[in-house]
Amino acid sequence: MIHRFTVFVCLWLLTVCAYGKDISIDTAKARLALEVELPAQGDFTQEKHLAILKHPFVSSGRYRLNQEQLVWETLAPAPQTLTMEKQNVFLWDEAAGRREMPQAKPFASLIQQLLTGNLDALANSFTFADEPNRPNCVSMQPKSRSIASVFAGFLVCGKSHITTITMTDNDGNITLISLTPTR
Amino acid sequence: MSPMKLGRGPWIYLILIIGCTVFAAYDVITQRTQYNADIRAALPAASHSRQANADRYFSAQAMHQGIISVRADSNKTLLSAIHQYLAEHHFVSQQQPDRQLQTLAQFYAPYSPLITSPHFSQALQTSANYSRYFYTRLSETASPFVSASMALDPTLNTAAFLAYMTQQTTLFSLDNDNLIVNGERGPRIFIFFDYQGQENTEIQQFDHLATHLKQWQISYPNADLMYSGAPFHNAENTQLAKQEMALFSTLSLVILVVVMGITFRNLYTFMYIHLSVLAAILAGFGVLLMVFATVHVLALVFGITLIGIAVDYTLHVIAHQDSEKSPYLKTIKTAISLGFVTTVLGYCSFLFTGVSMLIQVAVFVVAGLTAAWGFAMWMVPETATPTFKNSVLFRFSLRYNRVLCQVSPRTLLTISTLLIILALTYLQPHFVQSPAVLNASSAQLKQQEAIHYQYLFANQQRYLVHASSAQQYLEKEAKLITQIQTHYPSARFDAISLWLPPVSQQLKNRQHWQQAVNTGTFSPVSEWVSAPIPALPETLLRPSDFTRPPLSTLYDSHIYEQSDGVTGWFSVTLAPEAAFSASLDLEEGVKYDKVLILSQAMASLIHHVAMIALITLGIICVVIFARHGIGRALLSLIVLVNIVGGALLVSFSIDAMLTLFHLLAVMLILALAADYLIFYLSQGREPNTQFAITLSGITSLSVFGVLVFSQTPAIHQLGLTVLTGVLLTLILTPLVTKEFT
Repeated sequence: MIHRFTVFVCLWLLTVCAYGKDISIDTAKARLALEVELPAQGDFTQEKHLAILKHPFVSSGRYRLNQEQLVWETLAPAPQTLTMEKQNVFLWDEAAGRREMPQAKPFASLIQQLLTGNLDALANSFTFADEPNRPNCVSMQPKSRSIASVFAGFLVCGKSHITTITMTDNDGNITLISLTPTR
Repeated sequence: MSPMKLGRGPWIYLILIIGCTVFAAYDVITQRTQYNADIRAALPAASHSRQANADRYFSAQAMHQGIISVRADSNKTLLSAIHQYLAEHHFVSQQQPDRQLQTLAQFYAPYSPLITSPHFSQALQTSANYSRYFYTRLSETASPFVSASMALDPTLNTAAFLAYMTQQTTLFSLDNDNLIVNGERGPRIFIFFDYQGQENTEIQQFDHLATHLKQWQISYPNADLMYSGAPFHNAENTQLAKQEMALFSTLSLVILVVVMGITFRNLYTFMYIHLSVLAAILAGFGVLLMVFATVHVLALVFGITLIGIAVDYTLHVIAHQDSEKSPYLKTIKTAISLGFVTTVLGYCSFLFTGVSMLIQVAVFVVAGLTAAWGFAMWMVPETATPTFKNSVLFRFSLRYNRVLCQVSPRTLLTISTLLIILALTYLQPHFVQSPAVLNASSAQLKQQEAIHYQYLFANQQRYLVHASSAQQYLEKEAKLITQIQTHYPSARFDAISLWLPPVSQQLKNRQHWQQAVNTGTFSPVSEWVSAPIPALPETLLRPSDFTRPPLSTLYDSHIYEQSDGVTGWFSVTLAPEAAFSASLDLEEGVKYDKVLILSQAMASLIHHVAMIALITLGIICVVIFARHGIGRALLSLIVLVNIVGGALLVSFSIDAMLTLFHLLAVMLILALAADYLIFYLSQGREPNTQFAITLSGITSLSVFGVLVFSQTPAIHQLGLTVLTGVLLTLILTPLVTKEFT
């Protein structure tokens, strides 16, 4: 229990308290030095550190990205697929089938823009800040009200490609996504 | 002619007119009175039915809402400029309810055992289903619903409920706080806003906003900027009506000045005629502003038409002035009073219609005519040297009299009646009841309105349902939704019974929940979560819980409580109506057809006015019968029917339709024709009477002639019918009397 609490607090401190000074988009680009080639694909692991959970909830899956769409496919523990095509976002799971999910668009857009290295588009919705002891990380704070209503901030790390995305919601819950490109 | 010495009556008259003038000036300067040009505001309820009452209640908010849309990929500078302008000018944008997610979760989580969604309901069927459901929801990356509600309801029922409700009711997707809607012209950003500044500046502010939007349309052609909404139509209609009123009033007065100047060539006579018109307009306008806080612009249009009638009384007195007391002056004054009473009685019937705009017309015209009558009685000198005997008009009226002497009235009236019957059979005129034909808005605004409608309401059907209580309404609505879902499972609903399930549904949900608890279905929750699952609530969700935030706005926009129960609406989207309409048992409900309701209201108004026209016709005939006997009364009736029928038929053949305003024109025609008939019947075709009527007719023709060129359909229709009617009145009314000897 103490171990879980310590991890939770550390992660929270990392994403919220470690928020550094604002940096320009060029500095953010330089820090991440993203080299994106489409189509791209890889695996992901997601850890949910919610205050209410007894232990972190881990799920995993794979992603595919090309010019037309982003497919975010959770394979375990329960299959689920998030697809973003042009302006539309769809969610599929075994129980409910495929349905449009406009509420998931802010997240889908964020992932798409990060994976494609489109920091210019992200700059419309976020301000960037440095991470003093982590040269390959950039903090992002939402400018748009719709994203800020759910998320307090994001921490994105990587060199040439994104390796981790840490999301902190307004209740202090943290979601840590680790990405491993497979090509 | 020299100015006369004034007695007590004229002084009182002058004080009253000055009082009206001062009040009107004060009102205009302080902008106390609001002006409205929305044709819908002039319409009565189709009936005082539940549907009509509910429609008025539900439409009230939309009457003040504006909509702007641009292409989703538009320049951000444009969007910033629009938002900045709106914020600086008291326009308040309406936001999506996303920010209320936490509040909604706090509201619903304690009631979790009473609510459900299709997915959660399915999950509760077996433990395996629920496990899969629980892990699937928890796996969702960055689900705002799970984040907002899991601490309050670890079963994730509240999260699923809120996700389902958002999916059902949200047409928009969000991108950088912009509301995006997909449609035929591609994705567009929509901005919805209300004006929350001073109410009496709303029209002006929307007019200014429209001007800015038009400039941005030019500056940012790729943005495909559009705007719509009732206040924009209102602003356009008001501006046009005001411009046209100013133009036509000026034109009418100029014509009046020229005709009177040429005819009388005498400053005093000239002055008296124009002062009588001015007094009538000031009295009408002043009294109207005194009585009403909101004035319909169309009622003011009658201010112009009043010029045509108001001048008559003074003209008749002047036409009978002589250096000695004219033998005809006493009888002409009696005739003037009789004509005045008849016209006033006709217009007074508007007072009993219950239609605000018609009551305003009645108040304006009655006050104006009273002022014109008072002027003719008290302010115009009785003795003066006539200056019109050599005028072109006087000679014309004499010549016209001679032409009439050679015509058999019976033959002329028979031919006229036959022509009207033939035209009626051939043309088959009919009244158009759609208020849309009276909308004077630009084609561009109408087109943008249609495009926005396609984006926001395409494939959507609305239904109105009535019930004896709110609870019964919820039961009925839920039953209808189930019926539609049976035929079309993917249909989406905007319905209050989804947010507030009826008691029967809540009890069923509670039973399923209890079963799930008893069978250990929620075991994954206790495995993963430290918090307990919500306990069964002590009370059910009730309509009274929706009378306070966060859902009071939603509830009030769907439910209207009337004296005999509750009327509410729900909408169905993404389901072709044909797929379910036949099997829909609406009981006490109807399809919510806004156009139909407005058309019914217009039909009701047309019926009202037609009845009043008939009553007025009756009053005129009764007055004539009392003074001149049954023969003259019947002859007058035939003449009046010919005039009204002819005017309507000519209008129909030109405009290809008849509307409320063609019919309103009939009231004016009857007022003028009644005056002319009474003058002819009391004086015969005496040259001075003939001259006064001809001159009066020419002024009326000039006043209404200019209205024909109006771009406002209502004003054009009014002008055309009165123009034709006055022409026919000039030709036919002399036929009721004998040749002057």
